[in-house]
Amino acid sequence: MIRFSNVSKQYPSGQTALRSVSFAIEPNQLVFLSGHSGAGKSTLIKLITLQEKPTHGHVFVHDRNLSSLTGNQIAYYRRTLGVVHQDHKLLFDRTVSQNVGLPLAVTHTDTKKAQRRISAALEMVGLLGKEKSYPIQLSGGEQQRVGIARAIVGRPQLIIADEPTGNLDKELGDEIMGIFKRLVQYETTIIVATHDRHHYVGQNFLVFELQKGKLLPR
Amino acid sequence: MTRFFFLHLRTFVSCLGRMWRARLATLFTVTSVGIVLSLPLGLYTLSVNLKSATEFVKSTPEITLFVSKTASAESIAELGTSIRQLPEVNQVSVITADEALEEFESITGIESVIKYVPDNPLPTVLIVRPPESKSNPDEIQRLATALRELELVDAVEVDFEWLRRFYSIIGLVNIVFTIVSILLVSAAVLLICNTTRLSISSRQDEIMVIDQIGGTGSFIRRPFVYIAVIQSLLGVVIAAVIIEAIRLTVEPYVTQLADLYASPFRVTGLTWQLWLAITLSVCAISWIASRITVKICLYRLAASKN
Repeated sequence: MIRFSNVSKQYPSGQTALRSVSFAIEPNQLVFLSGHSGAGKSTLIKLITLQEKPTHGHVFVHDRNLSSLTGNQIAYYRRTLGVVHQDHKLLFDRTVSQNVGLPLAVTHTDTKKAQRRISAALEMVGLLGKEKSYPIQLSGGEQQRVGIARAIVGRPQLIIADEPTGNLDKELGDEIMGIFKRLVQYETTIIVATHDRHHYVGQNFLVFELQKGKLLPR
Repeated sequence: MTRFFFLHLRTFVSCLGRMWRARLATLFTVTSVGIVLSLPLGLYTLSVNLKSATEFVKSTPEITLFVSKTASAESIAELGTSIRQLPEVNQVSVITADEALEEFESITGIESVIKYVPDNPLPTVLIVRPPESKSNPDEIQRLATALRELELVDAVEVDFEWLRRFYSIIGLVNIVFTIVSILLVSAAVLLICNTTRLSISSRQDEIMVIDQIGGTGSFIRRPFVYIAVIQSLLGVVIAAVIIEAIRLTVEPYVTQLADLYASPFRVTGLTWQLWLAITLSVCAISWIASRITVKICLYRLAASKN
């Protein structure tokens, strides 16, 4: 599903974030991307979400070379992804329902269908009944769950989460990870970047570890 | 096609909702645009009315012939008939010396003094009016020269010099109006562009999120462009209300003044066809300007985030 072929990324400042990274991820897996701060996890995710382009090498998603995408093709590609950010990037002037429904608004989904999907997504993250609340009225964990609901509402085949538990305490972090572990049952590939080893240690998940931009052998 | 219109209708309604939620800011912007637009449109209305006023003035240039005091009434009548037959002449009026004296007395109120003057000092006067089609200053000048050559004509006075000056002033005023109007319309467009820029700046996070979840460039641009066009449209409506209010206030005074000069001139507003053309033009200019502004701002925003 995802293939990195000899990918390097150097920023204009001269900082090298990734060095000849190659790996492949098969569909319907929960994959952890681990490493300390500055290891290159976020850069790797930005390459998948097309916020950045590789300096060398190629990134393939569904056998499509992402470097070849331009203009609206990038937007259409992003609609196939669900992205969860560390700071959840919610819009504070919109209700929970409006925040979750943004990806459906972008694809001009029919209002009734959108309502059904929003309810289903909120139910999955345990926030049904909070549709009319504003993000400011929610706790940090609930806000992150709204971010996850927004990522899954479009039923993407690939969900990418960049340090989704980074701002949460251990208990809330485990709760969020529980949601991801449940989601993978719905034929979804999930990549979670985290520096918190306890989420995957001792469990049967695929883990890629990055160190100073290099992928360590498994 | 239905889907296309539905999408635009949805964006339009959502923009109206957004403007309503920020109604105070919308009111300030729209009123500013309206006032800025009302100035060039007001100047244009004034220019249209001035042009109309000069049309009435244009029909009255006349040549005054002072007939020799020795001329008999019969020879004066013959002179009038011969002038009337000229193709460059439309109308000839005769003011006899006695009529002129009577008018002089009634205007000045010095009949007691006139009584002591042994003879009427005023000559008989012929007022010659050319047809409207031949009333430009050059043709009047040619006619005046020809009339000056006639026997019994002592002097000729042509009243188009002031008209020539008047036309020059009107021309100058029109140029000034045009320049000021261009500057003010540019100010209105810049106001819309700046409002759009501020709106983009205040919604940076939303733009970045929409970009990240797969919103196309046109999806992101559309609301800003719609709001700019709606603001311009409302600005034109406010400008129309201001101009019509001023016209209705001024109209009775101008009518009174025109009546004093026996002029049929009346203040007119702009026609609905012209208002429609102005509205479409302003909306088109705002659409283009806001599209360019949004494109530049989004490009800068994307560059700053990378």
